[in-house]
Amino acid sequence: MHPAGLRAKIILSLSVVILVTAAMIALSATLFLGSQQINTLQSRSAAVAHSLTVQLERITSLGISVADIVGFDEQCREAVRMYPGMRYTQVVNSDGIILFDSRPGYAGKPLASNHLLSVLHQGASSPQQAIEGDYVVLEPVHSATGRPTAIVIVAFPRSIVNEAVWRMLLQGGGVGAVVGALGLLVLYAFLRHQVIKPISSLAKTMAHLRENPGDYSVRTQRYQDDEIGLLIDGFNQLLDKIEAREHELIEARDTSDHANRMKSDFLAAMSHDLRTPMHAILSMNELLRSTKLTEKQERYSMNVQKAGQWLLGIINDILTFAKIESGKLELINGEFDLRQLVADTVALQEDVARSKKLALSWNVAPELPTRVVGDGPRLMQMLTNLISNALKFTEQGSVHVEVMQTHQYFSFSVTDTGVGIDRSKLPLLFEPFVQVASADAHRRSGTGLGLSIVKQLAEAMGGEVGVDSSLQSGATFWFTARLRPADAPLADSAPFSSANAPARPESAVI
Amino acid sequence: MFRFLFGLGVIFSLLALPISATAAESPMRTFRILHIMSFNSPYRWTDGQFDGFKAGLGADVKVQYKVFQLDTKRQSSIEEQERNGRKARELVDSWKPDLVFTSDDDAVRLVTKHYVNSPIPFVFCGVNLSAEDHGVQGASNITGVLEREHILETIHLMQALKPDVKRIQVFSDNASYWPQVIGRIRTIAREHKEFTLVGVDQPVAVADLQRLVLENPNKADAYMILGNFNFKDAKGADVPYPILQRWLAENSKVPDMSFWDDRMLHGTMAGVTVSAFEQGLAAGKRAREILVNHRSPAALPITATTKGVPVINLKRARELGIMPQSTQLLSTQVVTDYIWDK
Repeated sequence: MHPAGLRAKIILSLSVVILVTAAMIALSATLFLGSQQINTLQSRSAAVAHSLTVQLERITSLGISVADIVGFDEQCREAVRMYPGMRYTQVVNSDGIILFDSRPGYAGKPLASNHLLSVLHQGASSPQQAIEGDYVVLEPVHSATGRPTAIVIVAFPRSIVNEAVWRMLLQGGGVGAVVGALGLLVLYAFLRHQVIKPISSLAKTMAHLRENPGDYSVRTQRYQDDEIGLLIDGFNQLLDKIEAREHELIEARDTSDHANRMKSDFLAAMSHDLRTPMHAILSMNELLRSTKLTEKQERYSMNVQKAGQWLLGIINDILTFAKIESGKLELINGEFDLRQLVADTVALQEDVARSKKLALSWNVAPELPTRVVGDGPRLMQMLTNLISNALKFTEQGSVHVEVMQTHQYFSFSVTDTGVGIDRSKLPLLFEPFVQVASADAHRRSGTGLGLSIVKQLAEAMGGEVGVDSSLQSGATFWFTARLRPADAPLADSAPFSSANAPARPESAVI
Repeated sequence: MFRFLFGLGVIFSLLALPISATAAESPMRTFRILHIMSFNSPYRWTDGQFDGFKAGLGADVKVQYKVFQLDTKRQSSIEEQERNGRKARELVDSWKPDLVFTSDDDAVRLVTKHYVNSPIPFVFCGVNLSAEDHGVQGASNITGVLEREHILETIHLMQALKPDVKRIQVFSDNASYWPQVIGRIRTIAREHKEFTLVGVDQPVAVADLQRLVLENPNKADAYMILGNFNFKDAKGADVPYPILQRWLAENSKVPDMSFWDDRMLHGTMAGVTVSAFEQGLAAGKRAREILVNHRSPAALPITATTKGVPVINLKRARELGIMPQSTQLLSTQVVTDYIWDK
């Protein structure tokens, strides 16, 4: 709600209402007064006609016939002088000859109006007639014996009625406009103080909140104790609550962040402290295996090696996750051989694949550059997580790694023929500490951080993660990353895949 | 015994005092008013004055009237007038009225002037002579209403009826009060140029009047008739004025005018008349002031009435070939017949 808009709407509404009201009043008054004006003029004309008739009958009662009366034109003129607006008065005999007239030059002449003449011949049964632009009143003059001897005619022009109506309309309109304007000013002044000003203040506060997110310190001034005042009070109270809640949330967030950092720091420190002896254990186990061992000792040593590697992987995941959570993860921006990285990563998982008799293969799209710039070790970690997950949840069939370019991104995907995942659980897959694939305790082994780490690393590399799967239909996990081709790309741009890799077979069936 | 009678008298006197005082101040007291008219009744002029007097006095005033007619129109000789005047004065002395109301000049001359500064209040009306001429000016007990003819208005009415009237001839008998009226006519004639006074004749014999009327030696356009009571016939008797008026209407070819509506009933063509009713009304109001409000007659000034009533005898006018304009017919009293036609 813009203040000017509200003001304009109020002014417009008031103007329309007041103008329509004033116009209706002026019109009604004009019609009423116009009707009254006509009635007044007709009554006045009838009274004049009657007065002239009485005078004529008074004279004729002296024994003088109408034709013998002298100077009655003066009475006709006097009537016109006494009542402004009257057009003429005249006395006409039954033959339509004008005996007396208020206008000079008419006496002795026949009536010019055929209409009036016909009315006379009808016996002036209709005393008031509208004839040729005039309202005409007729009154018969009777002799002492009651015989009609003449007719008094009094006429006033319709134009004076029309002029009076227009004059009243203009006056009424003028007065209505003035009253309307004054009423508009008064109403606007009242509404400006009572409505517009407080609502404008409210709107300013809301604009401030919109332009300054999180700043809930402003309040709207209250002007009066009415509904708008209550609205402003309610708004201010709402701001008070929002501000208090904001403070509480900030404090909670800060506390949570602090605790999380403490936890991550702890995990990072612990992981580091765990990894060092673990490396020592594995190194000692390697040294032990290089000595002559019995078959039984060889088997025990192998178990130690596998368990150590598995535990080291868990520790690495925790360390990486802790670094990400604590904001201490730093991506390396180094040059590496993309195909070699993929081949090495797959090679690390070949033993597992072979042990489960799964086919493990990979392919890098030939149009991709061989050498790229990015964080190769983290890419290797991400691929390792996805491949090991695929191997874990695939009992037969194959696992395939594919690298291609999608727009400006490098797309990495791992497709398996495993048990697949219920679609309803897909959104939870990349949350930390979540394992949804199976209720099998063996398969639930691990930290549950692998996919979460993939997600956060992919996002750190400017990409994203995803999965396409359904139950019993296998799964394809993928992520994208922004990798920059190295400044001096290799001349060999042929497709580099497991099929033609010089050091690795395209695929290996274990 | 004497003491007893004296005491009884005092008691009765004390009881009677409040009653007398109340009676003196009450407007409901019945007054005795003696009306002395110069002429006689029934006579339109005299009766009009008496009616006006009663109206002016008010219907709430209880009055016992006694009327005395001097009848000077018909008993116009000096002896007759003196005799009737004496009888009137005897009535005043014997009846002891609370107020005497007189109409016209003869009553003032024969009665009122004999009571100057007496205890009895006198109110007159219809008097042509001035109060000084009657010798009553300044009297403590006399007031009244003068009759002043509407001379100029009458001439203007005549000229409206007949625009070519310029030359005016005056005829009158030789009653004592006409010279003052004639003097006023002469004065007005000198001051106004719209008419000319071509002659004033006061013949004694009716035959002389008739000859002058028919011959019109001064070539007058209209006649102004004043007194018409005392023209003498061949035997020296007064010619009754209705007879004289009828002769004028039937023989005179010159339009005539006068100042009393009775004249138009008797054939005079037109005149702005003195209203007999207005004269009596003004006198009646003065009488009320004296009797009811206890004002002194000397405190009530002697003035004339001003309201004139235009009257036209239409029949006479038409016989003279004059058709009045509708304006005149509508603004005047119109007499359509002669009184002798009824």
